[in-house]
Amino acid sequence: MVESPLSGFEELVLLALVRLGEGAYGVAVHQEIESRTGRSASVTATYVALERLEHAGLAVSWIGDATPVRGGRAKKHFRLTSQGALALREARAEVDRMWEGLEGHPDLAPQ
Amino acid sequence: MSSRQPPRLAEWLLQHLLRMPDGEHILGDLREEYAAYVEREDSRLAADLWYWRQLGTSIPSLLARALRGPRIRGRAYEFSGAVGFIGSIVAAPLDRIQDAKLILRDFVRRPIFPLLVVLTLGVGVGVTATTFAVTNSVLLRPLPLPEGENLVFLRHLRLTDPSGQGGRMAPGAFVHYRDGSRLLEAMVAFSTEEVHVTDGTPMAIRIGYPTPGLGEVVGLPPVVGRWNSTEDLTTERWVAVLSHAFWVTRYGGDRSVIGSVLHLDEEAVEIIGVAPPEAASLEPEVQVWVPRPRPLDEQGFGGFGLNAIGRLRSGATLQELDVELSTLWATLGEALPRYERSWRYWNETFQVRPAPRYLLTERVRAVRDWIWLLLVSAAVVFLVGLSNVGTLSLVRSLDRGTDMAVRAAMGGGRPALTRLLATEALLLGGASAGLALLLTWTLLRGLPVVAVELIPRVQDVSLDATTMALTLGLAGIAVFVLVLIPSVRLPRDLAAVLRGSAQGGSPVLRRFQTGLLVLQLGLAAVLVVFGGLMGRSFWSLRSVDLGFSTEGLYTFQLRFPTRDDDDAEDKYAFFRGLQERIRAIPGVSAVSASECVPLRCGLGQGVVVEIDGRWLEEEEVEPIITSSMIIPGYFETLGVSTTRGRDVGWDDAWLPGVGEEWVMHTVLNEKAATELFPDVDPVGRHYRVGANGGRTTVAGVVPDVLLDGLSIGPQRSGLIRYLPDPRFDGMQWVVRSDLPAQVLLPAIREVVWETDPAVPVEGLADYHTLIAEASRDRTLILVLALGGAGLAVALGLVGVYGALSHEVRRRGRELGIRNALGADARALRASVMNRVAMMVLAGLAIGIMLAAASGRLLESVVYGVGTHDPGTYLVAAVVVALVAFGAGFIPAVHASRADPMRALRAE
Repeated sequence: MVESPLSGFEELVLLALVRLGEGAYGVAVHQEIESRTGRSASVTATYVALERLEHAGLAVSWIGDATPVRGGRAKKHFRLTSQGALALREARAEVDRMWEGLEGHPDLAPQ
Repeated sequence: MSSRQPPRLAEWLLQHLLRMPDGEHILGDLREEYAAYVEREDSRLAADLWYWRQLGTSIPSLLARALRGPRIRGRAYEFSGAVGFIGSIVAAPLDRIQDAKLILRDFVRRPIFPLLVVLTLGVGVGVTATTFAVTNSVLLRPLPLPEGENLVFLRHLRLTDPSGQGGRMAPGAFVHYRDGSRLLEAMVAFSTEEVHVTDGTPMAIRIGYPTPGLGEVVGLPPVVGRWNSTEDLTTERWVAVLSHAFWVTRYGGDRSVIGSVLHLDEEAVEIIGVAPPEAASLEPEVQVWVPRPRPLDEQGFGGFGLNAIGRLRSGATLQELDVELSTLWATLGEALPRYERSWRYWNETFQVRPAPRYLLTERVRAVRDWIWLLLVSAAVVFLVGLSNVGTLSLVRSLDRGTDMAVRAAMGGGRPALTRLLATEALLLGGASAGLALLLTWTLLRGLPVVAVELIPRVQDVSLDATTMALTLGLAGIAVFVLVLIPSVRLPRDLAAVLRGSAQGGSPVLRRFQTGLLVLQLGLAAVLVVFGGLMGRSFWSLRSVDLGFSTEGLYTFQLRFPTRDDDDAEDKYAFFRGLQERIRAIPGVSAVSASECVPLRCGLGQGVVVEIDGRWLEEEEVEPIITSSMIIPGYFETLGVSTTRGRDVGWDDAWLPGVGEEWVMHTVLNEKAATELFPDVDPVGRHYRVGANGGRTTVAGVVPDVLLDGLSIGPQRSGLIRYLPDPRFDGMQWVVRSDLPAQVLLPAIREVVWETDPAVPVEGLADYHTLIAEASRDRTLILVLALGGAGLAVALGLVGVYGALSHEVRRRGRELGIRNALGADARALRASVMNRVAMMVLAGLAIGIMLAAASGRLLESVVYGVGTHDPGTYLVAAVVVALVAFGAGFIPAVHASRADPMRALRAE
């Protein structure tokens, strides 16, 4: 079980992990979110979210190789866990349940 | 590839901000992305901007990370760095209690560090806060009267007097200013005198003779009745306004006291009002205000002996008043022709000029420099203590590197360690602040008791909000130092510490540490210089040649109520009889009396107008001489014998009705003799003081005797004349006796009361006590100054020792290997001592510059030694150097004995 519901940004991060598959790491997640939603959070914010998600067991990470272009720093890769997948599905289901019967509601009509 | 590197400053900043586990990965990602950006956009500028934007947008999320709920799934969230510290304060109270328990256990096990820190900071902060409270309450807070900051003390300076001393206010000048000033909305002038209350319980009190205007200057209504006013000038009777304190102690605050009669020296005085308690800040000593029933205008120009206080219109400045009064003074002779002659005399002969100053300044003038000096010293001690605690904390954090690494390895992690350090700092800071508050509170409660006669307004000193805030603020700074240093210092690579390969101490931190030590030595040098100068002054004072022997010498005062029926013959008989009776007391070898005995003296001043029958021309500078009446046997009692001529005896007494002109016999001191009669034998010659003064014949000359305070010295011309005078009702007696005070006083009292039961015997004291009293404030300051210097030096010793022994331990491997390779022990010791020498040199350079710069502050508090006395500076330099070298010696010896085996084993 997830103790705290996902924040909107965390949900986006988890979805980006799914999209990126094995190629997911900080900057890639950041760019994926930015290119798809137009939201530009900082790389650090992405990492902060990833850190929380990892602590919550919704994502796992492993350390890759260091490369000269990274200033000799190792790369940290992330992948969705089954818990993470569950959390995403639950989040989607929550939203869906809230949407039920609201299609065509006058307040939601495009202006 | 070097062109693909992000802006160095931005990366460096980010590196220090990202004190989180993924920091390195983020930096790596950003570098990679930066390179890709440059490739893609082909613009370094755009890429640089992108990087800087990343830095900027990181800060909110880092802050949020630190502040947001600390837990996910029951595991402590992690904090580190400056951002983490803010978060850690608000977060995880339970963890903090756990931490606190751990830390307290550690403190009990190793109490030296926490004790040193709490004592150093507690005392440093407490002393600084106390001196600040005194400075604030005594020097800065306005007088407790409405617009008390607008009250000015109207005094005058004599430009001919090199000491800048002058007078206060002359009646003639007061009248002119009162009528001419537009900037002063109220003015009062008064003289004070000691009189006896002669009904009920007899007691001596000080009364003030105010002009009308007292109420306007005070600015408050009386508690009961009315203030004195101009209408009291037209009546013949005397009236009185009681001070609040006198009203409460003597009348128990009885409001029906108005209209009743008080007898002062047997004169009936009608009580017309009671002043509010705040009025005491005008003149704290006056217990009853008795307006003279005669306006000042009817007096002559007079001398500059009146106290005058004015109330400035709001908005007017002291400078404007100075200009206005100077203009009025310059036109005084013209405007008031009846004063012209006197005005010309003061204006030309003494170059008297008005010099108003704020009443507050006047009240605290005697202690102002002392208090500022104390505040500076206390602040210096605090800074030394703080830098010392910084050094200790640094050394300890380096020493604890391994300990920390083990803790980190056992699951704490770096952030948990930072939190631990923060908790530790809060505990130490809290304890220090507690100790400081306690100390401040105690000192401030005790101070009025000890220093009530020393410091004006000291009873107003209290632990107010400002002082509390300062105490907590200083303790806060201390906590910051305590937290910042170890957390900055926390080794980045904890695993390396465990392997033993980390060489603690980056060059920046070592330079910082050295800087702290240099500053500390410099400040210690400043305080040692202060202490040295105080010591020299104290010594100069104690070794002042008083000019007489103090062994078994006592003094006491007799004051007679003034009676109308007194005449000179009665006084003559009374003094003569009393002297014989006191001398008859077994154990008394000599007794005499004077208007002014050494150290208890209020000398009258006069101007010599005629010498040997020759009237001095106006252009000649007339010698001012001070004079005092004595009865015969005075010099014998002091143990001083005449160097020329003879002492005066009872037969020299001048009595009314003998001859047309007063002829008095006088004994001059050497100073007066040489100034009045240069090149001739003064014995048998004549002079006259004041145009109306009697002709005086010099009977003899005695050596200079110190009359005023110890630090004033016998620099004035002195004149001692002999004359029992019916106007004269107070005498200080001196007795030479081998009896103890508790036997002598009752014996004297019995003898006096046999002669006149209404005369109190007051203030019996022996001269050892009087001298100790005269140097009492200096004793207190000396103790404080030496205490401060000692504290600073001791702290410096601890700091240098701590830092160097740490350094030797840190260099253990290198020193051990050098030892094994047969390095000269002396060279190894020298490598440590050279560092001490560099620090001492730099510290002394700073210290001597600071001390020299603060010389002006010391000018008024040193005596008999220059503020830049090279000897004192040299001694201070030697003391600081010796202490520093002493502190460095043991670590240096350890360096030369570093064990190669131990160094290798550690590897």
